[in-house]
Amino acid sequence: MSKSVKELLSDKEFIRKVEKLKKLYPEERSSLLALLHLCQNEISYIPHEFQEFVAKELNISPAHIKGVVTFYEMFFDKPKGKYLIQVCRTLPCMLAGAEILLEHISTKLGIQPGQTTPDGKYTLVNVECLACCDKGPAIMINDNLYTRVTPDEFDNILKELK
Amino acid sequence: MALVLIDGKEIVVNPEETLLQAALRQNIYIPYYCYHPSLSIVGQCRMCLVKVEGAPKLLTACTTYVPELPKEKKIDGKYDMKIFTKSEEVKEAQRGVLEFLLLNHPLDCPICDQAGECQLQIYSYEYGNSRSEFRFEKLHAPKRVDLGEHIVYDAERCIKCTRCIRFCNEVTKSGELTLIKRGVHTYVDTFEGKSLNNPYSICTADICPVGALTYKEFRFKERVWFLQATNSVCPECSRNCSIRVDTYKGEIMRIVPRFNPSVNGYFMCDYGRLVSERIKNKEVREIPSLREKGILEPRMEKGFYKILLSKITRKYEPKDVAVILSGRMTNEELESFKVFSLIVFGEILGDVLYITGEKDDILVKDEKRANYCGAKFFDLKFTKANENIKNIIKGKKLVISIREDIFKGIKEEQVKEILSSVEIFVVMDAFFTETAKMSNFYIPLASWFEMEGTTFNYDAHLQKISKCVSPPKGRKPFYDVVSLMLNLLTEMEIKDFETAKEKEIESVKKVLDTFKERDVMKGGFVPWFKEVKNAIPQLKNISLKDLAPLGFSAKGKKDGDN
Ligand code: SF4
Ligand code: SF4
Ligand code: FES
Repeated sequence: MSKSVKELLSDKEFIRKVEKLKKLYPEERSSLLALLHLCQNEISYIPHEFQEFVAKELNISPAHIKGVVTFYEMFFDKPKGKYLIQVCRTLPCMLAGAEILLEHISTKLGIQPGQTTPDGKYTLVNVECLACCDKGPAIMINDNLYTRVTPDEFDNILKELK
Repeated sequence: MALVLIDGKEIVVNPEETLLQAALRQNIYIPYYCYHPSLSIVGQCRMCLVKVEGAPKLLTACTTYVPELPKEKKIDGKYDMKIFTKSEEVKEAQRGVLEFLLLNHPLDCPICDQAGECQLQIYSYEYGNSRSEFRFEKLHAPKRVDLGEHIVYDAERCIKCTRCIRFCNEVTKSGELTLIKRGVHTYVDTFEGKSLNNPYSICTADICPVGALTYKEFRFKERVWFLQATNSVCPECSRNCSIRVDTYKGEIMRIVPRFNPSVNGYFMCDYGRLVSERIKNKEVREIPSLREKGILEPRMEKGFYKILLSKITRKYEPKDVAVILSGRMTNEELESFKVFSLIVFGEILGDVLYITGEKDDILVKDEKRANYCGAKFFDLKFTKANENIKNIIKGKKLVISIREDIFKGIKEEQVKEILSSVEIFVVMDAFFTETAKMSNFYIPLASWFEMEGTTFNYDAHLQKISKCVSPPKGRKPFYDVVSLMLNLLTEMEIKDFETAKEKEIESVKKVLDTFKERDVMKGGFVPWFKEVKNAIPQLKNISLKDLAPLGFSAKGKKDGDN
């Protein structure tokens, strides 16, 4: 189980990392993306409490932070599953069968894109280009890339995930 | 300073201004959405695309500065830039931008509050295409979102120009708004648990070029093309924001700020704007009323004033009289009060109740009435706030309160105690206030929006207020009441106009001296003097010649009278 945001913000080690990142840039506010990544790496998503914390740290309005968090597909403002399954929906992958694959994954896991399984294990999302247009359909599960994925292959990959 | 040829016309572009600003300044129109003269420049909407000769693609005029070229590089030996705003290429781009903006727009103009003053409608008509290539189902986005106490948002109508966001970041510096998500999914939102509630929030609806932001107090009230506009001034603090009052069938539907660089710029505060809502709920009484056997009964005008005048004219020593005046009185009203006071009491009485409150560093001033500056010019005495009401009234026999609800929120027994020595209590106000209900004589006055007049703001800036709606016959501006009373006095042969006239000239001279010092005489003769004289026939024979030794003269016949 990962930490709650409260625990995170009272963790001295974490705050030290925040301070360090802030100093890394000529302008403090430039550290925003780095700080958001830091939080997401620690607790898998970026809760509103953390967004408010960053807003104060960098003297930016909380609304602006929300704008940044929601702008990037890679950031999550809600808790996500242990495994994040990203399915490319850009044209070349679609032509190579991404649509069928997505439908298969959706039925298999019983969730729609944007949802998380009730046991908190899988989160399914659509993403734009994963930069593997020549090897579609492409998916990414956490940090691992899989290409030319067929429905059967996906079932095999799923078996590996604990 | 650069010289630019724009559609064959020469314009000058200063180094600190953009092409769009320079063009607009020199009456060349380029369409734009995201640019707003009081906000930062973002180049967000692409509506202002123009062709710059030599540039590989169209450029946004709102972000283009024009550097001066060295002599040998000048175009046609003369120009620093050559611009086309009406070429086929530009027109094609404008059509394209509008088509994109309308791609997912619901086209719900028939039920949209902005219809009639919407920049999407206006530009579609002027620069748009009558059809769209889009053949798919439109994307849906949040509608009727409650952004705050006043503002409602419709993401489907929003063109993401970010004016509202920049307003909150740059003008109010409260930063409530942001764009969330990306691409076609983008829309304006607030942070969780926060809302758009700054004291200027309704200005976002003014600057929103489309129907995406509307405010609850005006939503669905009236189609804008039925509204009748009258220019006036906000009465709620000494800033005196310039406003436009939109009415329909004699009712104020909304108030919007009117651009005035030396007073309020483009904006006004929500509190001032919503004064029209507050006065809607106030109790009014249209007819003068007289207390008899404990009850305040409406009376016929003439009879009422005859009784009043016979009871107060030269019946009390000035030391037994207290008059409470208000910063809500226009210059004309203040001046006519002085005349009234001179004739009825033999000298100029009166205490202007000085009411202050919160201020901010945007527009709101601490003086909570419009015309304190005028009252200062008219040399009237000031008394600070309600605390001192008791002291003003204590031991007096006749008390007159004009345009101030002096007993608001004070318990009846306490009021009675304050008034214990008072034989006659006269209240004149636009509303039938708590104070009015305690009076022996109640005179209904026209409200700020029901009369003509002038007012000075904190900085001695003179502006005109206008009759935006007509009051019912019984409610008159204070100067009309004075005129009526003075006419009756003539009839009743209680008069002492000669000495009054002399004193009046004295006081006018004094006031004019102040004006001269403050340099507010530039626009010709101050209008109040003429107005007052028109209202009060007995003073007609004071002419501008009487004032000639002061060096003032009427500029043009229509301001003067001989
Ligand atoms: S709500 Fe209006 S002002 Fe704000 S971004 Fe949308 S169109 Fe622009
Ligand atoms: S700042 Fe003062 S004058 Fe301006 S709108 Fe507000 S209350 Fe009225
Ligand atoms: S006005 Fe130039 S891009 Fe919007």
